[in-house]
Amino acid sequence: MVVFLSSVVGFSQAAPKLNDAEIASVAVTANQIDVDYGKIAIARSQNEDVLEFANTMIDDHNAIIKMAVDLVTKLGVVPQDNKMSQSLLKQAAETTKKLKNAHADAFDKMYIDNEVAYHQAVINAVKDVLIPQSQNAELKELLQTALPILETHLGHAKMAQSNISKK
Amino acid sequence: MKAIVKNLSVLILGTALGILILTGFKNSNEIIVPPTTHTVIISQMKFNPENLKVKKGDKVVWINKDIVPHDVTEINKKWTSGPLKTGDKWSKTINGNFDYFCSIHVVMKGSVTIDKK
Repeated sequence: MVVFLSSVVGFSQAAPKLNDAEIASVAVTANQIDVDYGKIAIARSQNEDVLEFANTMIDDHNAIIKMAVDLVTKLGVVPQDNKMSQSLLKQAAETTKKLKNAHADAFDKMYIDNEVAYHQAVINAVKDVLIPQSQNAELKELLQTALPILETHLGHAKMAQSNISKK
Repeated sequence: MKAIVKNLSVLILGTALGILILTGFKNSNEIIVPPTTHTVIISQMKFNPENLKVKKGDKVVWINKDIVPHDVTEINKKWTSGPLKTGDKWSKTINGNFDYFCSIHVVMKGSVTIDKK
């Protein structure tokens, strides 16, 4: 389990220096990854807690992506690929494979455990890397708006994790 | 003499009846306060204020100022506002205490309590 959790996070490397275009890329990538995990859960799970959580993840992370796309469009910034975005995508590809290949009985726990670890890692990255390094005030504000949403998701994921472990 | 007593009795009874009609047969010490409208702002994934005290009959308006949808759902799901998008409002007249939550983000909770003071 420890190996699995560490492999899904993708933020474990030492924090690189990022410009605003790179931060925008990381923000959109990190949110899109969780939308995609949610879609896998909708396709595979029968558990009501998991399905409710996954639907919320899809809606909320799409709302954050829309806000980010609207902002970069307004600012005329093109999100720029970078090592952190690439690392996230690489780890997400591995996790996606594990989620798709998981036995039906093991899927719900694997999905929710990953959501807890992933949200915790994203929260840390937003707090410690993305917000401190963003130069544009509106980009910083966008990240600060996203933070309580991510923290609420983490609480929700932990609640679902607890419910699943009781069953 | 009898006529004076009779007229006086009619006057006293009439005055008492007039007072009762004017006060609506209520205790004259009771002050009728018109209902108040309270506002709960949904912002940064919280109900603000989370715990609200109101008088019976007051109205509470919830306004969603977050970028994601929320709802106001009684804790045992007896009733719900339905989804409130950004900028949407929903109101309820309060006739009893209740705890509530957002059924979309289940860790968001609040309460409305009738203050009997």
